[in-house]
Amino acid sequence: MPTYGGWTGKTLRVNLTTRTSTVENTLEKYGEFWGGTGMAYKVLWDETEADTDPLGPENIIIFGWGPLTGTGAPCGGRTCITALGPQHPFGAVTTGHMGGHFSAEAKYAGWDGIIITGKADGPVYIAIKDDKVEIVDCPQIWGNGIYRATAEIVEAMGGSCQVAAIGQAGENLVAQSVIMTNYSHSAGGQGAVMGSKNLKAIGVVGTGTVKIAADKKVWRNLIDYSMSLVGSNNQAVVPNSPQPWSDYVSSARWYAKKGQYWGAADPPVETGICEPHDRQSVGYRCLKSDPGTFAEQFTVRMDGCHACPVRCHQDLLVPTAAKWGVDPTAANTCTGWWGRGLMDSAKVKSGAGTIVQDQNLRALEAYVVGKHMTDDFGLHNNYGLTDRGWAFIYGGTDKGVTYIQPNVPPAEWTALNATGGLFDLYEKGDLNFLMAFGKMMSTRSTELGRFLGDPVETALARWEVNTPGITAAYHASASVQWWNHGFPKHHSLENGAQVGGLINTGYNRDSQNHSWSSYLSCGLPQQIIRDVATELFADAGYTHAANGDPIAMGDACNFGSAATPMNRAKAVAAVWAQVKKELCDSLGICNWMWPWIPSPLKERGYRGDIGLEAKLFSAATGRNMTTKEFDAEGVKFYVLHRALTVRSFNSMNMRTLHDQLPPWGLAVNHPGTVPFDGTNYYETQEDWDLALDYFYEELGFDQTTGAPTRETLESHGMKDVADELAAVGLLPGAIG
Amino acid sequence: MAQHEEVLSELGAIGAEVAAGKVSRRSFMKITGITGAGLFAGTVFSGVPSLSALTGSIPILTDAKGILIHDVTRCVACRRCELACSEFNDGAASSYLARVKVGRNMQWGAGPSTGLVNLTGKAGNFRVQADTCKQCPHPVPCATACPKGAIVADPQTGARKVDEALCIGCGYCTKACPWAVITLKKPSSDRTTWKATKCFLCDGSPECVRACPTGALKFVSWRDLRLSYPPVQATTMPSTTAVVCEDCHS
Repeated sequence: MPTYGGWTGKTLRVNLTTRTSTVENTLEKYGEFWGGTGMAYKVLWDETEADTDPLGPENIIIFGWGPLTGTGAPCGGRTCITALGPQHPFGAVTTGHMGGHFSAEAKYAGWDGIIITGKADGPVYIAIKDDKVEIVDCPQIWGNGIYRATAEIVEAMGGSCQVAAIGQAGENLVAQSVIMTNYSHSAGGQGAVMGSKNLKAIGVVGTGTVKIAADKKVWRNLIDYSMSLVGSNNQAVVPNSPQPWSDYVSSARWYAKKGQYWGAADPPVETGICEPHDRQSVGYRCLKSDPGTFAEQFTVRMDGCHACPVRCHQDLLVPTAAKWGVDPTAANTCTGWWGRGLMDSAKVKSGAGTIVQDQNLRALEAYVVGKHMTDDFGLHNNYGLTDRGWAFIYGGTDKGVTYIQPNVPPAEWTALNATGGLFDLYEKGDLNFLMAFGKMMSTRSTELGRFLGDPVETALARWEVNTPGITAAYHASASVQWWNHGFPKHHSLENGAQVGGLINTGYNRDSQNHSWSSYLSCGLPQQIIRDVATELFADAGYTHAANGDPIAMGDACNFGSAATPMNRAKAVAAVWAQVKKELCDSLGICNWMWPWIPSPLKERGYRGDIGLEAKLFSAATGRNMTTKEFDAEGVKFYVLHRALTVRSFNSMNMRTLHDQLPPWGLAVNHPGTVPFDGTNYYETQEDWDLALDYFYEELGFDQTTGAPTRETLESHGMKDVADELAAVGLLPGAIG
Repeated sequence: MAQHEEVLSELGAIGAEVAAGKVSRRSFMKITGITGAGLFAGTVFSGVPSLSALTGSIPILTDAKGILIHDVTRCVACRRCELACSEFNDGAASSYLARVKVGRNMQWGAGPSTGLVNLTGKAGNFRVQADTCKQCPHPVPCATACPKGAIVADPQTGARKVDEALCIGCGYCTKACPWAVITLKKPSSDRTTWKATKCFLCDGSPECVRACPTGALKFVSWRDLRLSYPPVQATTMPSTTAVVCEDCHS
């Protein structure tokens, strides 16, 4: 019997080629890497090569969570899906994140993670029922969307079954594809990896338990403490309207108020005052209505992941959406509502006529239709980059003449421009555009569909031949907001200046990292944000930069357009933010909610607890760690990610090839802009070079290249990684 | 001394005959003048909530004082109720063993719904039903099914509670509950470790109610909820057990 808690102790490995499954001892094999992304990086390092094809059978896809998943640690229902990423121009490691309840069910089935290798000889799904694992042929499900695949697997496995599935997009190896679970939770970018393995889905049923190492009274007290500190979505701790218990700021994601209702709850439910000590109102704080307040009357309830009290998904019932041939109920959050950005909103509204009510309704219907399109075909909008890329190549009044016409066959161009064709629907604001667009993209049957569905850099390179300059224009465009590698910015310079920028360089796709950006938007006055940061980080031991300079974390806080030059505190903050994201992803908790730097409690001076994850981890697993020790583990996972990236790039030169700003990030490309004058967040190359200098010093990366050094790798117990990099000339200072 | 033994000893000679199985329940009531109503209300035997040892194989449990109710329009399917129930009572998180059950209904609705019949739940109209114990009035299906009299009424709350010292883990109760809200804990393959587990209202302060972030779960005065929720399985009461009902009811 294990003496620890949190982990189940078993990791499942499935070989689709041989149709066999084996059980690995989690702690013996991956204990130093915990789970989730940490474990996945270790597997990919050990078992793939620099040139492994993301769509070949040698790629490995790892579904990971962590020891806190399935427990009462708030917001633990996350799954990280890591593989060599098909969206990346040459297959560097990427991770998609999905929520829902899949990982919790897998923990109850007794699994700390699922590692999938090889390729099945025909369409299959993996059926996991506690310790029984079957590989089930499913030729009749293949070809159908995610909704049908999920329903048919649940028919076979039962109503409590959680399913992760791909749609036609993943089957057809569209790079911009997702894996989806629980009807509204999708992980971007790995759908095609499953498709390339003939793996349609995984279904899991779990009737077991996840042990908590701590005494149950101790755990209860810790959960109570956690629930006392939680705010609303994205660390918001201030309401966005006047409340009897607080001042307010209109931008914060704490929406509840008197007279606001889940309007379609039948009968409606008021969200109300939601005083922070009222535990029975936490779930009403976040009526996050991405379509706007107009949608509140269509909101049945809020929704989200296992163990999260906040609920950031909106469940809508829009009866008139049925006229577009879709289910009038739809749920999602943020850019998961793909109808939101894909069509021209002015055209959508005018397509509905002149009555404002009709226009608002049509705009809302676009959300519903778009969600069904993306979640059934299983398409990834690449955090909005596909929308903006489409708008770029369509070019407004240009209507595709500049970029699309030279690149598509004449017959395709004719069809696009025909009455009732794609462009006609777009111009009329006709929502049938959405399904037509989704079908085009997920079947790869046209050149335009292939351009939109391929890795962005690959697609641009292909169109560069007939439309030279498209790549540079796309990269430089302030409306496209491309960052690097074929991915968009994701809370970058506009969320904390250099801290946001450094966070955005961290990965091989958009950064999926809210550790710092959420805090800056928590709603507290700026000086309180600075003071709380300085105090909490000092208490946790973050008092000096790597070079010995004392730091105050408040100095890392830049807000909106008022960027200041780089300083040491910002480098410490950027590293901390990256590390927190790795920790979240290796524990199984949500980085859109965690960490909790602030709290809504006036009696605490609005202080949260940045050591709370460490406390929860220690209590659940029995492996006691201080905050600093705990955070140091996350550094290790991030360093391994960097080593993997160096290997994929076949170059140490991360500084030049990986970590540079996009052209629009530099002030010099915005004529008349003066950097650091308090009106903008644009950078100078010198300041960015300094930002990288400080960042690399914090992490122990080589100053010139930004690659991990032997000393750094060995300090994290990864001498083997250092040796392998040295052997291929990718270790700074090593002779090849 | 067990409570029922105390009562029997107070009754003197008649108590000894009952304990020896020589006096039927019907005769017992005639002799002592205690009516069925008195038995049910527990007024005569205050402090003796279960008469199963006195009355034979059908336990008579006094009504529970409180009950959980669940609002399908406030529930957001976070499942923190399941977590509080299992972690704070058992020290281990579980959905299947939680005594309030959300996970099995959340996606496709309650009862017999499966993937292709989307009526309620996330894939249907978003309403989520948590299955809760109805704390059934007499005759209590799970308590009646139990061959060991291991399901008793809690002295303080009246909640129907598994006495693990008596439970042999046969699982018959799990087949008797019309809503399948009693489950069997199986900590190992050794059957002697198996125990039934069900909602016992946490001694009057239900953890799930406290944990619910929307107030969807509430703890209110007991009322009979059996007709409000369609059963998901047929309850089983063998005729050999039902026969004894005659003693009190003829």
